[in-house]
Amino acid sequence: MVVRPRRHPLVPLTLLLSVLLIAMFAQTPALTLFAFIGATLYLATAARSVLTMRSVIGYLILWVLVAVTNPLFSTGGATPIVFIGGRPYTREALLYGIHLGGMLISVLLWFRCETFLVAEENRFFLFGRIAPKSALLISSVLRFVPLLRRRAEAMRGAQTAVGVYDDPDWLHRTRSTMTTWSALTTWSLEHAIDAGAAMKARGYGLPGRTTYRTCHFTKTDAVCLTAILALDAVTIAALATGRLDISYYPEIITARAGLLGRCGIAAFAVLTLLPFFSFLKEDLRWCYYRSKM
Amino acid sequence: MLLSVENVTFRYPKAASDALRGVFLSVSDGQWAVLCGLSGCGKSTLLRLIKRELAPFGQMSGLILFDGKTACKTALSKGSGNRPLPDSGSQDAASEENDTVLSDRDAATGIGIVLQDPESQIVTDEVWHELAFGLENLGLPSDTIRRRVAEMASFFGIESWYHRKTYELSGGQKQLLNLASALVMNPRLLLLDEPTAQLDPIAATEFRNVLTRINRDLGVTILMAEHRLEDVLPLADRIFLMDSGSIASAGTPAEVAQYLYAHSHPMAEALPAATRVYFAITGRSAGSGETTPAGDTAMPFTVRDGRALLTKHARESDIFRKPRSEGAPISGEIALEARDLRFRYAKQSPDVLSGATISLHAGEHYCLLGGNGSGKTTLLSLLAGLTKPYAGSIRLFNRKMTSFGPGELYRNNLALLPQQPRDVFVEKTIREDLQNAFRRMENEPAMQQLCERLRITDILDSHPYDVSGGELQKAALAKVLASRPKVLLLDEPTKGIDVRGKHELAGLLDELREEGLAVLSVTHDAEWAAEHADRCGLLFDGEVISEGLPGTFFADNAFYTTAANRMARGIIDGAITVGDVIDSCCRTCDDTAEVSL
Repeated sequence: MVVRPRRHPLVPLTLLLSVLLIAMFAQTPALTLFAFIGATLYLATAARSVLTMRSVIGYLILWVLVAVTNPLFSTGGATPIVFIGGRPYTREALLYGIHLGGMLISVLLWFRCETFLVAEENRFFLFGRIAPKSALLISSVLRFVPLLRRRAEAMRGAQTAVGVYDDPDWLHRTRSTMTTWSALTTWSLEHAIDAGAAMKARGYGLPGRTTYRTCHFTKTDAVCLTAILALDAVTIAALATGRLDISYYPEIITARAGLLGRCGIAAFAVLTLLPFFSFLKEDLRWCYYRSKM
Repeated sequence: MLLSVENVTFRYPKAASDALRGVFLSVSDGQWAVLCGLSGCGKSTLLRLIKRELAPFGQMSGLILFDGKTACKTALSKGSGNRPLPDSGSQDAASEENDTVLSDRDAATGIGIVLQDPESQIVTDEVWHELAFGLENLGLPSDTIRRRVAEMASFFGIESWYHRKTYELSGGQKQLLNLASALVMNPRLLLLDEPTAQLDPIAATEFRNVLTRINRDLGVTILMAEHRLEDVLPLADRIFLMDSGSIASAGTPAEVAQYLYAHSHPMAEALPAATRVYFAITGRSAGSGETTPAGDTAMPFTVRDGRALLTKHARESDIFRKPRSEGAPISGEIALEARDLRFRYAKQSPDVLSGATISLHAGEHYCLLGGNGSGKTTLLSLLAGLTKPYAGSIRLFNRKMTSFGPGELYRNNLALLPQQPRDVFVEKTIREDLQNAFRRMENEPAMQQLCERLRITDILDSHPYDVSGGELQKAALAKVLASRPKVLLLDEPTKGIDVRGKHELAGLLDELREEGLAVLSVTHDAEWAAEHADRCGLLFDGEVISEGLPGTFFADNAFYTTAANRMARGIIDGAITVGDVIDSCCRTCDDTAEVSL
């Protein structure tokens, strides 16, 4: 099933890049928190398939791991909780680890959101405009990988059935595996030549290539884009003026946020919640239409 | 003339002889022409020279004209120096061809091509993008691209898989996609190189139906290379028979069929069943002096016309022998026995095999037939021990397969020849691969003997990708046989192989079976199974549902049977091969006659 997003792909892409960049480079727990909340809410509603029990547990383990191990590597911080092998395990380092883990997970979650916010074909469209050759390359690589996997499987099966892998001598077995891989490489090269010829046969290389996909940039798109950039500007201003600074070592010192700082946090909160709200809006609208049917 | 090939000679670099020798060929607008001939006769080379983006390297002389313009660049660059002059043999065109060279754009759009392997021609990862690819290259505006892609998608009925990934498609769908992607560029000439060789019969029929529509409804000219004539002969307007690099005969299907019969050409066996029976009947009634059959009835190409011929013949000469005396079933030692096999790919997915039971006697050739996706290949991979069933048992010579230790099962016991014989080869030359296989068995002296028996000694030093499908299959068979198996499993052994190759393969299997080898072939090829199997079975819905001697098996089936059986049904009972039909018809006229066709 293909959901064709109604916004021009530039809009969700700008949103994504802003959130990712700010979440990665800002050292503010408040911003990280909102990045986390925004992504989780969106995934939990719009893309329930991603948040399986298994992946949630995985993310939590990652978070705890980063948080707990950070003090082992970083001994800065003035308040030791315990000494491990003569090295202090400090409160500040632990808190920084919690922040670091949260940030890492937020970024990962936003990357998962990206799949749903920007449909693949649209990503291709955007990329195709900037670098058409690379876009085509990516498309052919995406085609080639499953092909290679299938070939590798077929070849392994064929080799097993002629008995190369059940040799009692492990050295022999290893060598056979390597030979199979090298044969697979030969096949890949052969395939590349064929694919190149097939492309040429259909006119690849003629001057003035165009693309199939067109997206129209509407007035609503312009409004959305401006709003996103404005929210960005507020948060970046707050960051740039140091209102959201925090330093962990040796002791945790936060800067006085003031009005600009609070506005910056609020603006970022709105930014991160935008995908969730827009999904909610669409969902409600759909329910409304359905009730009328 | 839309396409004319004038006196083209071509030689691959370092080759000892010419691949094409003075080929003349012309196809006019709207025709459906078929280029037929045995594997390696130069069909593909000629098609690739016509589609100049795919032209192989080598020395070419002569002229290829598309729509009155020089189409082949090889002629220009490989002529003499940089002068765009074809070699001798086309002086009349040489004077003015500077202004009559086909442009790159016209070459790309005017001539479309679909090759044998569906996989190797797909460029992008999604169906819609594959369709748009050629038009994007031409630099057409997006709106035009979308319109033409939309048109083509609905013409081919591919809306339902328009957004699918290309690697998820079935072989038939992939080949249809290749055809649609070539056609979306509005070509005037469509070149097809054995396009249905890798497809199962149902997908192949569907593909041919689409081709008929393209030819009839859109007026696209078709030039198709093919070595199986059963299904294309009734559709074609003109046939070119190629024989070792030159055109041996050209004309209407009837004329070329006549030529094949008169010269006892090996390709005569690839003619439709109806045509072969026609020659046998009319050729005999015309007397021994005259080789050409009496031309009072039109030559039949289809099962329908063949039935009419047989009915008429039955009225005139009323004695028909019951043709096939079925031999007793082979009842030797049971070599391989599988009971109640169940298999599925994932826990939630449905059963691919749900209680398949099959047994194979020593010295027997068992052919397992079945539709696409019926689990034939899966069953083979279970029987070969490559995958494990979740229920059921497999016994090899009355010993549980699971009890075979490492280094036991694939030595002196069991071997599998996969669908793609190239998967068997991993070295730079076939010789190295075979040597390794025989060295593993400490049986190197046997290699030379086996290679001579398979007649592959002269290709031993070639790279596995450089030899023809039939040769590669024989080489793969040699490698598989190196382990001296007692049970041989074959996956689609006749796929993409010409008549001569099929016969050679069957003869070889017969020889090996006399030494006690048990052979299980999984195949779509009903004709081959009818002729060469001792026993046949049909895999359907995860089970082997009907099993029997070929005579009963095919005579009982209405659809999954041979063309000869469909033709003779109700007229000659129990005839399942062309040989059977001819046999029973001609016994009436001449008892001692030896049937050659």
